[in-house]
Parts: sequence; C-alpha cells; structure tokens
Amino acid sequence: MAVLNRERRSIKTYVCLTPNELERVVDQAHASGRTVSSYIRETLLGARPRRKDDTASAKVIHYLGRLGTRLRAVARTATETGQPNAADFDEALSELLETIRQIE
Amino acid sequence: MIGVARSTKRFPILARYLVEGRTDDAEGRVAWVASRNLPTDDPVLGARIMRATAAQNVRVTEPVYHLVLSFHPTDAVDRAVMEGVADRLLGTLGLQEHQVVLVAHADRPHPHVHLLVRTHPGVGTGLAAGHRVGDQPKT
Repeated sequence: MAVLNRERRSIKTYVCLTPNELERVVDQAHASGRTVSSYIRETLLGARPRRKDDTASAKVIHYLGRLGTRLRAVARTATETGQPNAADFDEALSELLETIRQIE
Repeated sequence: MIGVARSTKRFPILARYLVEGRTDDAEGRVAWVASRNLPTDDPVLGARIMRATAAQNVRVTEPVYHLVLSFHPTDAVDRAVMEGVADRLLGTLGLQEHQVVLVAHADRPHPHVHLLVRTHPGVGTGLAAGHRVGDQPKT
C-alpha cells in the first residue's frame, strides 16, 4: 500500500496475539506474498490481500529444483567416473525436469 | 572486458528475451547456454526455477541480477574463456554459489554473455553499490 507524500512510517504500534493467531497471520502473509508487516498494515487499513495463486506450485518447483541440482551433480560425477549406472541418473534428471515443465 | 549490471524481478521474461529476442531475430542469436547451481541449462526453465526459489523469500523485491560481459571484437575468446571469465567475476562478487543462467550471444561483432543471477536471501535486496551500472571496471 503506497505511502502518500513520501510520509515516513515512523510510528510503531503493538498488537497482542495468541501463538495460534500469530501463526495464522504469518501463514496468510506468506500465502499472499507479503511480509508480515505489510500484510498486517494493509489488513488494518481495510485491504484484503489476496492469496497468490502460484504459491503452492512455486514451492514445489523450488524443492524439485534443489533436488534436480543435486541429482545433476551426482549424474555428472557418475559420468566422469565411468559409473555403469550413469545413464540412470541422467534419465531420472530428465524426468524430473519434465515434471517441472508440466507444473502449471 | 566491460561489465554492465542491473536488477529486476522478471526472470522468465528476461530469459525468453535473451533466447528469442524482440522479433524474429532468434536465429543465430544464441551462441551457447550454460547454468550454475541449477538442474538444467535451458534458460527459460532455469529462470522459472530461479523465480520459484526467489518467491520463497518475500523480502527480496528485485531477485534478478542481470550482468552482461562484453569483449572487444578483436578479443580471441571462445566459450571456455568466456565461461572462465564469468566464473571469475561471479567469484569476485561472492556469487559463485548462486543460481545463474548464462546466455552467450553471437548477434553482435563483440562476443558477449548475459548472466542472470538470483540474488541470495543472505545478500538482501541486491548487491552493494559499486557493483551497479556505471561502477563496473573497464579493462
């Protein structure tokens, strides 16, 4: 939410929450792609931050990407050291990349 | 060698532009592609993975650091030399463990390679001043 006339956000305020409430706020902030501060500020001012549609798929792609990077390193080592199953690693990596491509 | 850098947030759009260009100039545009710390050398898929990783940290507003390394037309550089210079630069900037897509172009007289770097959450919202446009060394 924009700040008018370059006004600084210089005032801090405190809100008491139960641990469960805080957990829900943090989850909803992350789901909307905002920081907790931005989410609370916008909500307090009447906005209803929408959930980002691609949050779940981004998380899946992120973790598959990490897995794929490690798999690629293993495949490279297997090829360089002449391991008999090197082709299996390459095939597994190809399948993983194809899975990422198919994620909407 | 001349380096130019800027930050942005558009991973896949930038990657697609580097591969395909603006119009129909895609043919012969790309000399070679590579990546660092990614499971693929496909620039568009790599950029998609980088965007997904960047989305895990909402504080980084401009997660793409776009570097262009250009060599003089008379410089006798091949892919190995260009990749070596790129790796050296990434190391100097402390980015050697970051996800990087490299796209080298052959559409100009001067050899040049684009580097799309995902800035790491530990780096904050980008790189320090001195590594931005106009601050790069000319050698």
